[in-house]
Amino acid sequence: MRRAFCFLPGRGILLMLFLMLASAGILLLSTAVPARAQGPYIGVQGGWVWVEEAENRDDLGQFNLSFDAGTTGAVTLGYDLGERFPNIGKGRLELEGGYRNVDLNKADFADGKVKADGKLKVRSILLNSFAEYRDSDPWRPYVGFGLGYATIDLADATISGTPLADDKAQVFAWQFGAGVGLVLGDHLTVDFGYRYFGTTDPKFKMADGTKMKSEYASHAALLGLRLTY
Amino acid sequence: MGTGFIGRGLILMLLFLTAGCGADDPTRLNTFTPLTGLAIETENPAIAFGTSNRFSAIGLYSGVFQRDVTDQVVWTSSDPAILSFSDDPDLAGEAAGLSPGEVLVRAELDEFQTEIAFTVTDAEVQTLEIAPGAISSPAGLTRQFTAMGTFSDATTQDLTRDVLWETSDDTLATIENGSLQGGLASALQPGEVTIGASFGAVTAEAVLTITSANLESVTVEPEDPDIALNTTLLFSATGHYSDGSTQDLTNSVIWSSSNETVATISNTAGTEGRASGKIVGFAKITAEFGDFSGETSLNVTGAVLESLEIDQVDPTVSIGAQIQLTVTGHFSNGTEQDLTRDIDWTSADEEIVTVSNTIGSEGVVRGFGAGTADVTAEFSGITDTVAVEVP
Repeated sequence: MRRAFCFLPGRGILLMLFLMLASAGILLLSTAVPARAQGPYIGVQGGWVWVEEAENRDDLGQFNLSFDAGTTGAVTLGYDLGERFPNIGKGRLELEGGYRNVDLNKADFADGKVKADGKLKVRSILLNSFAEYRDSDPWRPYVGFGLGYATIDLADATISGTPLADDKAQVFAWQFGAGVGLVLGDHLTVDFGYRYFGTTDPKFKMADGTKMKSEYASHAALLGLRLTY
Repeated sequence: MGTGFIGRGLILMLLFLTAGCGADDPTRLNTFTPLTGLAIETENPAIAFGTSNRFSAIGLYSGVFQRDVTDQVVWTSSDPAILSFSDDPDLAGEAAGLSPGEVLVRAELDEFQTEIAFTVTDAEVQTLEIAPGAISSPAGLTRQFTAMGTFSDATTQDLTRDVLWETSDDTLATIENGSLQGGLASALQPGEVTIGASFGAVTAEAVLTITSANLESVTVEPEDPDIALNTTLLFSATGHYSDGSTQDLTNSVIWSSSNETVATISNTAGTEGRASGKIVGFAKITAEFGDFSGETSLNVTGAVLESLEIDQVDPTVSIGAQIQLTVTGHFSNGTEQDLTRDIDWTSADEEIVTVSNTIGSEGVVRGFGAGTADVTAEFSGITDTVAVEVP
């Protein structure tokens, strides 16, 4: 069977559009509630992550790894510019520590797919910048991006029970995100978000000692809380 | 940072997300799944002495898949004076029958080995027939001839590799001898030549007419097809010549897709002309041969698979033999599509039958032991199962 599973653009764009449309619809229905929610904040997020099928190359050619859906979480420390800096704009700057964890599902070779096991864990630290549309409180749609660093851990990976790799790689990382915040008062915001997270290509040491060049890209649906001081 | 920024950000994100998505088809063979068994297949059940036979070895990998390992095994004959294997790596599995008798043919790989009994008969060739008997070809192209022998014991055997091929005029056409390309004639200049094949004292002839016809056009088929997302389609290219003749150029043209994000098309040996739909949209598929090219439009649709149907009803396969299973997909837009090459094939009992997922032999079922085993075709979570009987 020679086909490649692609999470996006189909479902990913639908998910993002859903988020945007949902926020737009709610904007029409909601009554504007004056709320500030600006200044320093701390936030937590959690949700589901889907990792794209990854191409892997070693001396013998290319094979693909696919993954189950997994979990993701993040802690953020940031500053909501609010209305204080009209020359800069309305938005947020934040430092995000994130974690993504999925299980290997299948390995696809030229002669077919076989079972794969193990975990793919990513820890990242990103500096994010989000632009917000604040004229529709309590709902605040936003879009932004982040840059940073990540450690990718391909842990106890096996194919048909034969060890593939158990190694970590340090890589540069970035993400694009969109979503909508629901401001519940001066200090608390609920965040419904989508994130596309990618990295430079990680290289892993395989069980036989040779090197394997891989890739990483994921999509996440998140629910979060932000506490603003 | 304001609404304009958000708009630009969304556009940037959409562009980013739609770029580069989807993994390419894998090129690497699976060296992780352990080999758990071997099987030998033979081109002929027996051969006459003085002729040759090709054996192939099939590796069975943990009941997950199978692979042709003919060039990896060590081939031996229990009596090389009767049947002798070639030492040439390019001719792995090819054996010559040197004298009448019975032998055991053995294949070994790692700690696994298997063997079959094989007979070299004392039958003598009575007649020889070349196919095709007469054919024309534009200069510059090749034509394949085959030689079939009928023997004193009423058996027939393909002797294309064993006969001596020659042409009546080497300036007009040449023809290859030997195991790799025996019978392959190259048309050099316009004219008519006699193609001769001889096996001992028995001979046969055919006529090759070489025309000065020029290539006038290249066409691609099927014309303007639709395929569903994440499925494949095999295109063919045909050359049309000034004398009205045609030539299959599928493996000779250079294939390209105008939009590889929508669809890719293979130029890899063995899968030439095979297009894969990546995302919904249109792509122009072009086949280029020298100064000529043909093209067609491929529409990759978002049709959703609703059901699968394995086309063969109550299939049976003998031990050591193989059959081809095919599967048809029924889609939400009312279309049907051959998904044989796109399916994940599995056998419920590889001790009875195996089914191939290898490129070029997808859906090929081989019989290994008596009994009945379910063979399942799966695509995007939708399955169909058929019971295959091995009598």
